[in-house]
This record gives sequence, structure tokens and C-alpha cells, in this order.
Amino acid sequence: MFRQILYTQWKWSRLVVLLGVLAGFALPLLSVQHSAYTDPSNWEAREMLGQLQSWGVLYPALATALAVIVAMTAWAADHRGRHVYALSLPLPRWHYALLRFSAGAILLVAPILALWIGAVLASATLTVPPGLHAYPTALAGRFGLALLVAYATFFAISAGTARTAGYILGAVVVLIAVQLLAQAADVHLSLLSWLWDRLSIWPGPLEVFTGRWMIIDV
Amino acid sequence: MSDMTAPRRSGVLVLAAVLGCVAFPPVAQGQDAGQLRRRIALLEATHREAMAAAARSESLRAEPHDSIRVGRLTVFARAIDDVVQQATAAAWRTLDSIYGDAASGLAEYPLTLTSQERINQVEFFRPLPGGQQRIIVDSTAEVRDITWQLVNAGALSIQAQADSALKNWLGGAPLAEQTGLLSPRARAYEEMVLAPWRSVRSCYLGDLTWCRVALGLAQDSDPVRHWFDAAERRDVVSDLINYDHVRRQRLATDRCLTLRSDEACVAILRSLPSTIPLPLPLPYATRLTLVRRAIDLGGRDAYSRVARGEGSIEERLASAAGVGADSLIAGWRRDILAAPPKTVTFTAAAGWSAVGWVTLLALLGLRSTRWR
Repeated sequence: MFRQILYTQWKWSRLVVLLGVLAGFALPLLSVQHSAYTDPSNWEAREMLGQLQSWGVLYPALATALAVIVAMTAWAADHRGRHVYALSLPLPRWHYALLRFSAGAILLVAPILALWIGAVLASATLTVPPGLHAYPTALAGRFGLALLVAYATFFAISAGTARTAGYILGAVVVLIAVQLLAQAADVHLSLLSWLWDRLSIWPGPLEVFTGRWMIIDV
Repeated sequence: MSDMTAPRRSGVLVLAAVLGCVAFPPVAQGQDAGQLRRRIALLEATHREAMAAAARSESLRAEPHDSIRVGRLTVFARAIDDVVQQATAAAWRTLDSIYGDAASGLAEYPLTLTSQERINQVEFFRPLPGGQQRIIVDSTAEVRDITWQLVNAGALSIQAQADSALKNWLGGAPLAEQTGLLSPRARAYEEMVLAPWRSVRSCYLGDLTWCRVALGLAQDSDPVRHWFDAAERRDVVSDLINYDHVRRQRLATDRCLTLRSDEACVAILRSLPSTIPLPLPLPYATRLTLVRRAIDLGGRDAYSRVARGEGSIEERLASAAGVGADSLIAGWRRDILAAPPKTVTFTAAAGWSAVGWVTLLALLGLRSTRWR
């Protein structure tokens, strides 16, 4: 049963997954393309860090984009077919959802591995200046965790009804509207800032997205 | 005119008197150059008084009247709401914890919060009464933003009372630094690791004498020779080549960069005007971390001992910290090396937290409302 679900999800999302593999592999290599100094001076090391930092934002962005698309794709066919296929199976609902979740998660392992291989290759091609260190495995690990957190989030949203998704979206819109109204009324209210702190500071779910995504760092 | 305030009315009357004197001068009285100069001086003084009176009255009309005082920190604002109260209390706590008794000097420097939306160019340059210092804040500013602004302004006011040796050594940077993405110590760590200078590298490796040089503590009258070696001096000249002052010395720069004449490099660097400062081995922000360590060790009166101006900066810091200079610098170095910035690596707690969130969200997905 799991193999069939994995196979169908692979068919639906293979283009995205392959693109993710390609991007994951290329991103670390591209980020160091201008940092290939044979004997980097400290000035060049500083320049290298600046360049790596500017590429850093692309790792969480790639993780989020991949997670959204794979999570949505996992449920797209069921939504279109009004869940008739799923209801016809001799499975409880949670079991079916678990199979879908696991299949998507397994497909996402490929981009994580590709990024790890790309990062290992990228750091092997560089002369790392003294005082700096290469973090290919940590980069891939953080990418993997961020990808899975984002995937689980969007999978949960996508698994719900359109009404649930609407509630979530509506709550976000209400928060933004309240914040804007408070600003217009000259009332000090920092809802969004408070919410962001709760989400992005440990043990918030988005903590894994924060920090410096650099393959070479101090 | 009925709502015109007293200072404003007096200002207008003085101004009218001045104008009257100018328009209808007493006639037929000869006056020599000395008398004329005295009258001009008198007119100028009266004019200044009139303008100051008008500015004061206008300030009283336009500026906020509400005020709050926490410790020795006084803040004026159009309205003292919870945010201003919290920010003032937090700012005073920070200033008091850093400057100790020296923070009491803030009583003479009240701060005025003015909303960004209310300020215009004319108001921006208008003097505030009673030595007040204006702080412009956005209406959406949060407690931490206002706190930081108050701390920054208060810190600069306190540090302005220090002697010029300390002020120059700190480069005008406030001891109370804003915590950004990187903590001050993490930034100092980055500087230690990445600075291209021999002095900083040697300090990083544990040589305290070089730490003194890197921090600008060594009593040297010739930083060009002491801070940098010959290759580094060439690098500095090369970095400064786009400045007109350096480019104009074509012969010397050719000798320095092409013929590698160290004397030429030294001559160029010694000739730099004050507008082109010599790069510091470690920036002012790193120096601040040393002062903060001295204050942390020395307790409440530590800043006062640093600012008192007795002895070299190193001696003052050691005295403030209550330990020997070597011990202070070695401890500072240990502190910095123990505080690298957060890299892409993650702690086990962060990893387990992410796994926990994945599990929780997956369970939510399994319990979806679909099919119900």
C-alpha cells in the first residue's frame, strides 16, 4: 500500500523534487563560486563571508518552497476527487494520512542529500581561511529540519478542509488588520512582533529557520 | 493675542523695540566707530534674546508638557503612556547598571520624545528649553525601540562628561550597545578572527602585549609603525588609494606599492589628515567590550573610576575593574573567544525541538477534519 502511495506521489511531484535536488546540489556550489582563493588573506576571508551571507537566505527559501509544493501536491488529487478513492480504501483516515505524510517526507530526503553532497563538494573545493570552518553537514542538517518543519506545517494545513485553511488565513489577516488599525489609531500594540518572537525564538517552530545559513563561518 | 504666552509676548515686544530703534534712530547725534560698534553689539544681543524668547515660547507651545522621572532620568513626551513608562524604566535600569553613580549626571540632561510624524525641518532645529535633548521616535515604536533610543542618548550624555582621552579612545560610541543580530562579544569574536592585522592575530593566539596594541592601549606615539607591519602598511595604503589625498602623492604611492618602499608607505600614512583616519586594528565596538568587562568586574563605581581621567586608559580600566591590567585583558580575551556568533550549527535542544514540531504538526495532519 505504502509503495503505491509513494509511487503516485513521486509521479505527481517528481518535477518539483528533481528541481529541488538540482537546486539543493547547486546552491552551495554557486555560493562559493567567487570564493575560490588559493591562499585567502583575511580581507578575502571577510569578503568570502559577505558573499556567503548574501546566499544564505536562499536555503530557507528553497526549503519553504519545496515543502509547500510537495505538501500541496500530496493532497491535490484527493481534493480533486473529493476523497472518494481514499474513502474506498479499507483504511482508517489517520492511517491514510500517515501514508501520505511519510511518502512526501521520503521524497524530500533526496533534496536534503543533494544539498549535503553539494555542500561537501563546495567546501572541498575551497581553501578555508584560518579562523573559519566549513559546516557542510550542519548546513544540510539544518536544511533538512527546516524542510521537514515547513512540510509538516503545510501538510497539516492542506490535510484540513478549505474552511480550516480559511480560518488560518483569516486569523493571519485579522492579526495584520488589528496591527494596522492600532498603528492608525496611534495605539502601541506589537502583536506581529510578539507573535514572531514566540515563533522564531527557541522552542518556537521557526527557530530552525533563523541564524546564519553559511557553509563557511567563524 | 489673548492666548499668547508671556514669554512669547515679551519676545515680540523686545523684537518690536529693536525694530523701532532701527527704523527711527535718534537723529543729529554724532557717533564715532566705537559707539557704533557698541550699538551694533547691543542690537545683536537684543536680537539674540528676542529670538531665544520666541523659540522658548514656541517650544512651550509645540513641545510636550507631560514628563516622567525614573531614577535620575527625566523624559518629556506629549503623552506618557505605558510604552513610554516601561521604556523609561528599562532605560534607567540599563544606564544605572552600566554607569552606576555617574548616571546621576543625567538629571541635568532631560530627554524629550518627539513623534516622527510631528516633526518637521523647522521643529527639528528648534532649540529645546533647559538643556533638553530631542529624541525622534516613530509612532509605531515599541518599548524596546524607545528604550534603546533613551539608553543611547543617555549614554552619550554621560560619556560626554568624560575627558577627551577616554572619549577619543572610545570614538564616541556609547557603552550601552544595542543588541542586534550579533551580540557585541560575538562581533568582537568575528573581528578577532577576521582582522588582517598581525597585532590582532597575535592577540587571538594569546599574546597580551599584542592585545594591548590591537586595542589601542599601548602608549605609542607612532601607531603607523606599531599597529602594522610593512606588508600591512602597504595594504592600508592600497585600501586608501581612492582618496584624493593619497592619490595626489603619486610618487610616494608608486614607491610604496610598486617599489615596496616601507618609508614611502609610512610617510603617506603619517600625512593622512584627520578626515581619513588610520584603520584601527580592532574597531571601537571591540574596545567597548573591554570597558564593559572592567565595569562588570568593578561594580557600581567602576565607570566613574574609568572616566575620572587619572593615568592611562589601561590603568584606569584596571583600576575600575579592581584587578591587574594583564588579568583584565586576559579575561576579556577569554570572554570574546568563548562567545562566537551563532553559526549554521544547531544545538541538540534546537534539533529535538524541530523534531517535536514535525511530530506535532504531523499528528495535527492525521487528525484532519476532512471526511468528518
